[in-house]
Amino acid sequence: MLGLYRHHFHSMGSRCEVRIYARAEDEAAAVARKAVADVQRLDAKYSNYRDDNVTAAINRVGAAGGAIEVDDETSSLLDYADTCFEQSEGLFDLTSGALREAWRTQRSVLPEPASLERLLQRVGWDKALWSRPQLEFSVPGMELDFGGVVKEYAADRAAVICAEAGVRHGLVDLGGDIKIIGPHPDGAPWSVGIQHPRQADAVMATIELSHGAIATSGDYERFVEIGGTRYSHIVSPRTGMPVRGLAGVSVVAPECVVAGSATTIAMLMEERGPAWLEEVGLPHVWMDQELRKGGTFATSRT
Amino acid sequence: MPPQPVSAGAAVGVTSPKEAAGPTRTISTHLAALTAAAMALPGVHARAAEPGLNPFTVDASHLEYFESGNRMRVRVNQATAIAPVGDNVQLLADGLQDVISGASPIFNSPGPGGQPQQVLTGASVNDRRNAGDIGASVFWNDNQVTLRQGWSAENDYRSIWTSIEGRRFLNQKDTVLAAGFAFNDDGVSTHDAPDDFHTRIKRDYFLGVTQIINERSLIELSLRYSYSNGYLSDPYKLVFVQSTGELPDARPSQRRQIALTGKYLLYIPPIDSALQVIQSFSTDNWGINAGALEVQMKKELPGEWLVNAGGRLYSQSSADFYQPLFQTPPSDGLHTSDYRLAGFGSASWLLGVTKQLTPNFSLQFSGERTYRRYALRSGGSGFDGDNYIWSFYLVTLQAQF
Repeated sequence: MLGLYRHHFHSMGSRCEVRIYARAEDEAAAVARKAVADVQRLDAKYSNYRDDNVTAAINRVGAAGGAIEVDDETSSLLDYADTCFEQSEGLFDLTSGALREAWRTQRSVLPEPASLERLLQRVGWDKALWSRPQLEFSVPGMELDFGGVVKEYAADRAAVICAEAGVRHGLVDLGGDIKIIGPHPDGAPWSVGIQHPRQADAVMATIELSHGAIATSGDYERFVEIGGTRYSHIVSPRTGMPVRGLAGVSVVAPECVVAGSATTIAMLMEERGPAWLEEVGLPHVWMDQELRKGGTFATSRT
Repeated sequence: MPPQPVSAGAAVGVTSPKEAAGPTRTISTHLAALTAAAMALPGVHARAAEPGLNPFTVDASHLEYFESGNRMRVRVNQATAIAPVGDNVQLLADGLQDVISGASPIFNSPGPGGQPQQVLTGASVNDRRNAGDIGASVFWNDNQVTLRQGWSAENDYRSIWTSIEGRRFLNQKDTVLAAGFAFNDDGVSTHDAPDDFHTRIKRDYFLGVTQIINERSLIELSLRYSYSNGYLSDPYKLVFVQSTGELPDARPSQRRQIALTGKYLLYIPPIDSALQVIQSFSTDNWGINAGALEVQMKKELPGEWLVNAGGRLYSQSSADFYQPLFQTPPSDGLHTSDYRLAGFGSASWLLGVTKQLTPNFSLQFSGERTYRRYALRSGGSGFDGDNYIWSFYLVTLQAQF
């Protein structure tokens, strides 16, 4: 009696999907629309590619140096990012977005160490004074990038919107960051296949989930290749260099936002990533540059 | 369904029920800190996300219908239940009672200057109708078949009907093909001779296709063909013939109708609203050609409100054997002055509001007001004396568990 409805859309630079079981299409479409509307709202509010949103307003202040008062939702995200910064020895840093300039995909030569050094002076969450609801930049030229949190936060919220509309079975997938609403109607879990970091058509592991969330991060999603070497889009706020170490990592957590920050932190920890994940204690799988695989659900299926 | 890649990082599919989990251990300080911070994010935790069975739905509604000029008034109470039985079967039941009171037009008589004027029944009509149907839907793979059996009874009318409808879902449910058949066996009598039933048989054939164009729009097309035969006249209606006086309503014993309906639904994100346009055309062998256009906007508002508003235009031509008044009896013996078979048109406005009270209960109010006008006809004859206004108000409470 319940049919599976799949609602595809594009947001936050990713292919996204809401899959829900409902009795009728219009019922499913109405719920999916609500969920999608919230994802689009967050994209509009926090995208780095707009000049009329919260991120742009913060970054205008950041460019000149100074203080800005932010809304409740933004404050909660900054509180969350602040916790991530503390729990990652300062590696998870919303201000490291400035370094991306140096690693744009179009470039063909490595950035000059001097230019990285100049950028690093404008990077560091500890150079921003966060006292809810006020954010103050002590150094001019700083900028924030909410990209590392908003997609996972949006997935959590979209799943809650569906659940509160009565959906019991389904999932929200925002470009591979997946929050489960509930298992299939017969109780069977969703099987999530995690892409192999070096073989686009292969799966490095699968995991079955009835609830909770899974997030994945890898150097294969967005990268720049310079002189035959692949540089990840994840850039260390310490060195200004793209991270090496893990090729891909997936983490399962009750909330997608926690799963997402754990994968990002593991990537930023580089070779210490697996040990950090072990310490955190969430189910996870990783693969390093030498294609060695590890973690708690490292069973392969290709 | 094999695992299929759906995004850069992960693929989702269906396999056997087996939960993966990490080793049990005490929660690390990292995890405790991250979880506590995540808990503080707005909207990340569901207020009502208890796992449950497929929904069991019951709705009850009350409808009040009025016609202008102290004509007909109808009150309807209806209840519907849908109950899942396992994952592949759903049972349906529907019960209805309505009470009709007031006057209805019987015939037209020549008024001053020879203009027709309507003659209504006295306020004597007071009919009660009980109707119900039961049914079952079966789902397998991408198919659904629904079988329904219905009954309707009142003093002077009884009806038994059976319908079967099949649906096939294609392209991951982006396309739905539907086909259906319904058979109605009706008996018609009058208050004067309540046991003298005349038979009327109707067969409906239906084909439809729904296509989701993208996440914002869908289109639906349907074609319906109906064939009725038997006693199709209205035993309460008369015609006035100048040369002979009043004669009973007499219609052909067969009617073939064909109707085409198109529906377009478009969601418009900047205004968080949906636009629905429904257009239909029909024609029959009685000479009635009709067209309707309905436009509605639906908008969700904060606080779980949904508002819909719109309008509908309708126009039809009269039946070949319709005249408000007849000079002489038609040679083929067919004649009617029933206002429903006249040429007329109508304009309606529609307004509705739905409030989701809790995740399980919703309450809906809707109203509609229709102005019937001879001037809006698309052909044939009729007259202004049949103009009237009707309205209805409907309240529905729906519960889903």
